[in-house]
Formats: sequence, structure tokens, C-alpha cells
Amino acid sequence: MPSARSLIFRTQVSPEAAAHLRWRPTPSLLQAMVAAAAASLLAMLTRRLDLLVLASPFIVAAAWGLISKPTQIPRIAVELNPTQLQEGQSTRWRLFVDDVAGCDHLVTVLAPTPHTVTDPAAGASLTAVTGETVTIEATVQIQRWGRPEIGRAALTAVGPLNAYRCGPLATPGQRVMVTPTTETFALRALAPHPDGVVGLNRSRRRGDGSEFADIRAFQPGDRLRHIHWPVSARTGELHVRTSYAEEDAEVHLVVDAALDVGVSDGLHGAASSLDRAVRASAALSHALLQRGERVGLVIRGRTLHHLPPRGGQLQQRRILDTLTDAVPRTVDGGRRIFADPRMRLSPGSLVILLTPMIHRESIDQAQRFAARGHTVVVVDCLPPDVRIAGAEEDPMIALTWRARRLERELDIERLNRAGVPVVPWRGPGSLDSVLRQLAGRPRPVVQRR
Amino acid sequence: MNLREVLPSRWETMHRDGLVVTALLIAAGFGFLACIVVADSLTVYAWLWAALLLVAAAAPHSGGAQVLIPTAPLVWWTANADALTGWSVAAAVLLLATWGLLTLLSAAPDGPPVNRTVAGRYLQRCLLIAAVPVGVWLVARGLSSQGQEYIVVSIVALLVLAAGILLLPQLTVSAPAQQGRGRNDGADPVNEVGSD
Repeated sequence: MPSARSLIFRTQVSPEAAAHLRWRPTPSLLQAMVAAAAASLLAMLTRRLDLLVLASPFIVAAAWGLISKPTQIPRIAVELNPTQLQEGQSTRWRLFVDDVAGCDHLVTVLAPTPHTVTDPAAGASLTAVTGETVTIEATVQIQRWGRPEIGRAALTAVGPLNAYRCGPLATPGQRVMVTPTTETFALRALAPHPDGVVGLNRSRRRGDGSEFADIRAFQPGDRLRHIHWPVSARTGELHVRTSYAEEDAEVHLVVDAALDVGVSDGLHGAASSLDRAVRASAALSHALLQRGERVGLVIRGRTLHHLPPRGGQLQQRRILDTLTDAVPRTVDGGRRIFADPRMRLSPGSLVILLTPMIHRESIDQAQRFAARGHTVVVVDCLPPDVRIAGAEEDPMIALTWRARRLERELDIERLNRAGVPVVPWRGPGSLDSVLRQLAGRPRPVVQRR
Repeated sequence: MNLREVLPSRWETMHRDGLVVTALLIAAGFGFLACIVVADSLTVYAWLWAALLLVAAAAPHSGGAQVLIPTAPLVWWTANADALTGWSVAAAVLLLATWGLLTLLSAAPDGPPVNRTVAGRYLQRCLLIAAVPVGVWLVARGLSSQGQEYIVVSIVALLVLAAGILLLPQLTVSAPAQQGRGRNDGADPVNEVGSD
């Protein structure tokens, strides 16, 4: 659970902006004035008292509106709390408005942000002014990971009888960090070829560990607490119990964020390919770090993000924070997405590539990793029921998408032939069987570049 | 402003409070037309005004809504009612209600519910203003009549009118001045950012 952070920022209307901001008459006031003038004129010209009766309420209403014109420009301060949360959680937005003496009510409209649900609905509210300071509150539930800008709003101050209005005063927004959910995920299979120092994976080497390996004759240097007394008593010679060493594995999560295929409807709706990749990365990193592995992260999207492999809960925090920066790159621009000189893979490290397998570069990269001798698992993050925008309206888009999917099937087959397993992401347990199969293979020999 | 686009959009977003206010607006407008019918007769201008009323109810920010109230006295004038008819008072009150409801509708977007305090203030002010045409009518009747009893009524009506106008500025906003004050005292209001 991320720690809640609050951010309070205040703004004051600059003198230049204040010069443009002033209390302006509304159409309602003009209607009352014109109605009063027209009816009074007609009453005088035609000597009709009934027209004067009709004019009288509008004369008073117009006079009331003119007399009660507010003079002060409201000052605003915005508070957003918390600014760091998980998708599905809510943040509270508060707008403090000062210098509202003379105002009748305030109209606030929050700018719509994708994948958010606001309370009050649509972020619009009508607040009566009862003092010199008014606090307007709204709750914003954010349903997708990322760094959305929350809190941009327009405030309009309204005078008595809606005769004068001031605004809209624009309030600035603030980017909040929304980390993906880490679904409950227990990775039962161990890493295929661990090569670390300490951890939970059984090593091929003998050493300190909890898993029994053998009983052999005592040798100089053996610890006395490892002596197996029943066998030593039976044979008359000292024997010791040996065990397999336990070591950690280095796991690299590589998120292909070059393309975001499909439509994202937030946490409880349809997921796009990037949604699945990000949430799968969060779940995998959580499970692996809980098990004591060292986990690194590379995100290849609009910008390249790289976290070297480390262990511990702090690394989980870093990974979640970095995942919020995954922004798809819609146009390739001819650059190689996977040119990353900073990525150094240790021998025996496991590479988990999370990709929708639409971009050819990601498939080539998986093959390059495998050719260099690393253990690679490709997690297919393309949603099975993916919706392509415009495919229903335009048959050409639907046809192109179908052709691309057929090519994709060929790519998957090509990867499987090259010894790279492709696993569709189906939530917890997706990788167990494939990791067990990989553990059964001989240890690959890593080629130096 | 295209009504074909505005109407479905408003229907989707409008809160039920907005629907109630719109219904009251239509009722008040047709009440004004009913006063014209009772006072004299329904002219073609009244039918046009009824169409304008429906446009204003559908789109309170449209041009039709802006001319609804200013054209109402002309519609009354074309009806040629009696100059001292008592129905003019009812017509004036209903026209004021139409204006007040239209003002309330255009004061806020359709989505949020109408704040009860704000609606109460509109009602309070409109009721206060509604006393004015009653006073004017009574004065007019008193001045046009030679009877002694009407002189007393006229003086009372003038006093009520004067008191109402004197009270107006004090009834604009009830402001318990100290409420919420001091929260920002001593704080630098310019781009102050802090976190905890």
C-alpha cells in the first residue's frame, strides 16, 4: 500500500489576469432591465397602468441586482490529498475560496479526466456562499494506473439574483501518481537457473540450505552440527548430512510499451495490452521480490525506463513508481526501440518479456536474448477479446487487424521453435508450468557480446 | 445553438432538480398566458410567445430564452386588457416567477442538483419582489378612484413599497462574516506548495 502524500498548492490571480477578471452583468440582468424599460416606456406612451404593474417587479429586480454587485475578486487555494495512490483508490480535492463576501453562490466544474469517477457526478457543483470563505470538495476515484492530472477546474462566482458573474477562474491541476494494483499472486515454480548468493531457489551446488542432499563421510572443515549421529553410530565412523545451497535469481521484467492495443476501461472494465502488461509486471515483481529474488525493470515506450535488478520491498516501490510512467509510443519514427546499452544481463538471469507481440521489434528482441543464452519467457499481453477502435465501422481496419493477427500467430510459432515459450497472461499461475519446464532444461551458456 | 443536439445532451445530463425547475418554468409561463386569456383574449403573439417559452425551457442559454422576458410586456400590451385589471398583478407575479426560474436554470450547469439554500434565496427574493406589483396596483387603483377608503390603502401600499426597497440591500447575502475566517491568515498565498 503506497504511503499517502498530500500536496497543497495555492494560487492567486495575477494582476494581469485580475485586470481581465471582473464582475460582469449577466443576460438575466439585461433581460430584467430591458423588460422594465420596454414595459415602462409602453406604459407611459399608452397611459396603461397594467403595463406599469408588469414593469414594476423588473425595475426592482434590476435595481437589486445593480445595488448588490460584488466588488472583490475571489481568491482560490487548491488541496489534493493524497497524491500517490493505487488504481481504484480515491483522492479528495478541496477548493478553498476566499473573499467571496457579496457572492450568492459558486459554480464549480472539474475538468473531465479519463478513467476517473467524480463525486459529485461530472465534478459539477453549486455551492451557496454563507461566509467569507467557502470550501468546495469533490472525491475523484482513479481507475487506471498512470500520472493523470487531477484538479483542473473552473470556478464561477455568481452574485445575487444572477445579476453579475465573475469568472470562470481556472484552478491548476496536479499530476498524481497512480500505481497499478498488485493482484494476489503466488509464483509456485522456482526460477529456472538461479545464480545468486542467497535466496529461496535450490542450487545445483551443495552448501548451506534446508533441502536434504546426501549423507557422506566426515571431512575436515565440516561443521559439527551437521554430523548425522544415527548413521555415525551404526557405521562407527563420523558421517555428515549435506544439503543443497539456496540462491536467488536475477529476473528482468521487460515491458513492451511501444504500442497500446485495445481500449482501456479502467480497473473493472476492459483492459488494453499495456494495462495487462503493467498489471502483470506489478504482480510478478511483487511475487518475485517476496520470494527474495532480485528484480529489474525495463520499460520501452515513449521514453526508456531502466531499473537495475535489486531485492527488497524498496525495489517493489521503485518498480511500481516506474510503471506509472509507461506511456505508449504511437509513432515509431524509425528508431530502434530495443537499443538499450544500459541493460546488462548476468548469466543465468531470467528475462520475462511482457508484450502484445504486435511490434516486430519485441519479437526480434526475444530471439536475440535467447540467442545470447538467456532464459526468456514471453508473456503475451494481448487481451483475447481486444477491441480495436474503428474496426466495427471500417471493414478495412478489421481486415488489416485480422491479417496482423495471422502474422502474429506465425511469430509465436517462430518463437516457440526457437525455444522461447510464449505464455498468454491469465493472471496468477500463468508462468508456473512454463518455469518448471525451463528448469528441466540444461543450463544455457551465455555468449559474451 | 442546435436544439437537436442540445436537447438530448441536456436530457442525459440533467439532474431531476433541473427537470423540476424546467417544469415550473413552463407552468409559470403558461400561467402568464392564462392570465392574458382571462384578462382579454389570446392573440397570435401569445402563441409565438408560448413557442418562445418552450425554446427557453429546452435551452436556457439560447437566443430565444434571452428575448422571452423582454417581449412579454409587448404580448400583454397586444392583448388590450383593461388598464386596471387585477389580472395584471397575477401576470406580473407569474412573469417574475418565469424570470426567476429561467435565471436559476441559467445560473448553473444541468448536472448538479439545485442547492436548496440557493433555491430558497431565489424564492425569498422573488416573493419580496412580488409584493411590488401588488403595491403598485393598489396605489394605481387608489389614485384612480375618488373613494376615501382607497386613499388609506394607497398610503399603506406606498409605505410597504418603500420599506421593501429600503430592505433590499440588506437581504442580498446573509454573511456570518467570521465563519471560516483565519484559515489562511498569515499564509503566503502565492504558489505555496507544501507536503506532509
